Amino acid sequence: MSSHAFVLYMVAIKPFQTSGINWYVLANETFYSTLIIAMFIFSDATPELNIKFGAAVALIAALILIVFANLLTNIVYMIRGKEKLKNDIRAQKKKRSE
Amino acid sequence: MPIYNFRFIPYLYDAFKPALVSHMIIFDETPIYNGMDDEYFNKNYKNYWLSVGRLSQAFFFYLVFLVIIIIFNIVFFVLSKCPVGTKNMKEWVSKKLTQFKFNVYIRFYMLIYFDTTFFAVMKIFEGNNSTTNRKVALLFSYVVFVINIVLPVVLVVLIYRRFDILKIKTAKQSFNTLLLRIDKNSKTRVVVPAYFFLRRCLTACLLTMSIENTFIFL
Repeated sequence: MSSHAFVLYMVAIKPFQTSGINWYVLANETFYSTLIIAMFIFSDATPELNIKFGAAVALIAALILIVFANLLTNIVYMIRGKEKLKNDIRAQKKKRSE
Repeated sequence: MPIYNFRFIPYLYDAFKPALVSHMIIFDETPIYNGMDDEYFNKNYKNYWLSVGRLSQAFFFYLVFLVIIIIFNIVFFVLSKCPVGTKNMKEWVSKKLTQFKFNVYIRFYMLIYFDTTFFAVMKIFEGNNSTTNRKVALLFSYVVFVINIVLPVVLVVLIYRRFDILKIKTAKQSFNTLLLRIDKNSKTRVVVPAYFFLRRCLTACLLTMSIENTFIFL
């Protein structure tokens, strides 16, 4: 529940300095929420095998997406470097003040 | 996490056993004191072969990390006081030393926050306090739990009250790790570090619930 609340907060407020970081955290949180729901359904919540199978697929997909989002962000920031991140922050600040 | 009484996940967990090194459970049998190797918080932890002894290995290594950090802090402090070295080196040393006041310690606390809360809550709810050692452990658990409630509140209130001056680079450098990449335009952004602690505290408390508990779905 707290995770879902944080997703809503992220969408409404966008608390980070650049849109890239906001999207990254939002993606992480969304996949994490999906993972938690899928985990609960996959466990002893229901005896229905079909539902469990669907939850398992969602669980594995969410897990892969979390890893992918983190890897992608790391690679992108590594390639772009510190200076470009600083430029992004400056541009975003300017945009917000306007 | 062994919360939903999975029947398949423990085997997956065992397959990824080498990854246990990453959360500092290195030995199958806990060295020095193996009296807790056959003790489990509940049957779910038994399914995962996560005895109290094995979990305590992680706790022990956190203390080792703290000692390493303190040693580094002392080394940088001594280096900053030494009248040797170039101007660039002195600048580099003083820059690193400011990280120890208090960023490194806050980050370390953030990393161990969940585990210490979890251990404390688990011990409090366990209920077996028959020996003196267990009573001491219970006392420590209460102390740790209270600290883990009070300290995050202190940190969050501190950055909330100082939020306006934290826009200045030198003012925020002591608490940088709490405000990492957070936009400083509005005080409401303090929600992010507050949520960091709240989520971990809630999860640690929820993990103590038994599988039969009505609120397990939370």
